[in-house]
Amino acid sequence: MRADATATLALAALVAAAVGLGLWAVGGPTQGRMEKRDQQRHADLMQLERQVACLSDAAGGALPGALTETDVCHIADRYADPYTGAAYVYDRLSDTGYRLCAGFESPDALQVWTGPEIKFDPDAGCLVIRHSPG
Amino acid sequence: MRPADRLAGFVRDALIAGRSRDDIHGALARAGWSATEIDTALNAWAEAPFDPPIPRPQPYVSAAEAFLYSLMFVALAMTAWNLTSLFFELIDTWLPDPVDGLSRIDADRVRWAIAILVVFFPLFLLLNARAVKAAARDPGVRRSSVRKWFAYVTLFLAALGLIGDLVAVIYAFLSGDLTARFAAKAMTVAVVAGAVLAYFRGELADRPDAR
Repeated sequence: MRADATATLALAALVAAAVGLGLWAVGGPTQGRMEKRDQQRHADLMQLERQVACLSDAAGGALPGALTETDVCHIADRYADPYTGAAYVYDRLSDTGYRLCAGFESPDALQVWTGPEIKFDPDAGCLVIRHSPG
Repeated sequence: MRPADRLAGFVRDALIAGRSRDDIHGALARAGWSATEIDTALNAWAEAPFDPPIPRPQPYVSAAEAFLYSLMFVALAMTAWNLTSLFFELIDTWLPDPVDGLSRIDADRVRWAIAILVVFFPLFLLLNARAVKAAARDPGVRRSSVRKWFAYVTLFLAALGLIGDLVAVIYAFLSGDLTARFAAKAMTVAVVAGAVLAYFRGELADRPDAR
């Protein structure tokens, strides 16, 4: 067999292995759709986080008792999961901390930014937020 | 007229005039032409006793082949690049570095690489099969300058990849960073670049007139 034919076969084997292993590692289209829906849920929770900050500023720094929309604060587009209709959960943990939760389908695959103020708890499907009145 | 054209014209006229190749070689050498230039000019004509002298086949450029081979070598380059990057992602996931925050698999990168491979590699196979068939039908196709240029540029890039890989391995070894993760990545580059190199060695092996 010619060297170029052998090399082409070797490349074909490598490509087949890489595509197979890649699909096995990240999942197929079903997994991809779950991740897209989870990214939307995460984006919604981040908007709700800004809504909470706005409500808190309007109340002199105190965390609100519930998620509401006011004349001053109407940042969030959605208060419920657009795919299941289940309401997003606002859970006040203390005077300086709260969490926002959603029904994530594949939380371990979700790539989210976390920092000193915001952590993501994949087991609970919640953003855990430390509130510092601005 | 370019110097090479003047030289070719002189050689042709001298052969028609019945001068021997040694005479022509000597005259050109005395005039300052290098041995390589003289040999190239003389080799353009067959050494058969026939008048007028018979030209040897020369490399040629064709727009249709430029399209075919540029697409083919771009497909091969995209395949090699994305194959390597996909394996890098998998290695980062399977051999995590505890101090590297990028150990988690980047699903988007993996999906892009898969999408590119699924399109470009079959395209390469298809174009390669066409090129092989065309060369079998008409051996003159092998003289295509475009084919040779693209082949040598890709060969050059594959060789650079292998040399860079070797340098990185030696550096990592000297700095004490030769981890399993790094070794696996270096191996990936070596295997992919080696396959590309082997492909073109096979492609160019039977082209003595490659220029």
